Amino acid sequence: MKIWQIFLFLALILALFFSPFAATSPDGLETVAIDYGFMKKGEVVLFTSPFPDYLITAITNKTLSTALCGVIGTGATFILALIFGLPLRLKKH
Amino acid sequence: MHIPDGFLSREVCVVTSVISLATIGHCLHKTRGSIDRDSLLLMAAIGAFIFAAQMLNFPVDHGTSGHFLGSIFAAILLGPHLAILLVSLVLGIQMILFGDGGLMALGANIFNIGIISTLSGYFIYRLIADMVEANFGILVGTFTGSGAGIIGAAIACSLLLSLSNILPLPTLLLPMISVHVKIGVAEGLISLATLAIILKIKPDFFQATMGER
Repeated sequence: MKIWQIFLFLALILALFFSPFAATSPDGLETVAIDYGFMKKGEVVLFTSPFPDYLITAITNKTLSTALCGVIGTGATFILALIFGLPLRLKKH
Repeated sequence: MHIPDGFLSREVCVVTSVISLATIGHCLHKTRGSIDRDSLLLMAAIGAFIFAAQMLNFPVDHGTSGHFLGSIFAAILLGPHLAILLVSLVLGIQMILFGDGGLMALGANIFNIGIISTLSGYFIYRLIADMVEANFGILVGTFTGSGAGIIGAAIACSLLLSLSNILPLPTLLLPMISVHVKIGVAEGLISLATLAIILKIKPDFFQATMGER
């Protein structure tokens, strides 16, 4: 198995089976924002993403919803990195 | 530490967007024609790994969580230029598809998480890896550099918040650094463990020719 295959496999496993069980407590910046009272400033909504907070609104099962978002994001990253990376490739001699 | 919309002033958003765009342009220029098929696949797979790992928040303190950033880790494996491009792409996907990090704040998030964490962490990694021989130096450098890069991003984030008149810099620095030291240690351990596994599978990973490093 090549290293890239291991990374992709690992990424899909993490996204599918582990992401639904991640901690939901605020992150480092959010904690500071809450403690120092500027969290409210972050409630501005400029646009609505298709899967806000890594959830698919049509799916009520939160575990499944997050896991699917994980797979969508992981797949999108892999494919878009390949597409955007194509022009960086060596020219063939 | 993805910054949402509303925290940063318009000026800070504009300036960081310009800096981030210019840096991305520079990185694209630097890496054009430099990677082969296998390193392209490796880059894309590391991007997928970073996306997935960033979803996995772990508790670091009472009521606080952190997650692996992976920017320094990517720089160690791919070189800093490709790492900055890759992390910028991950941040763009997180913002557009999942609303993680603000639209106006994307430039600032690329600046902190993509550029500052990568460059500061990679600099520390390089220092140690060049000073200490062979794979041992690489492993020590990976742990230290990964942790340092998180602190670097936290300092940059504090600076942008203070420039946006949220709070004075001295007030922000201490709590931001103290919470991110813990996240940085976790970052270092995850990078170290993953790299140790890679070196176990492929001991000559860093000797094999693969673009700049």
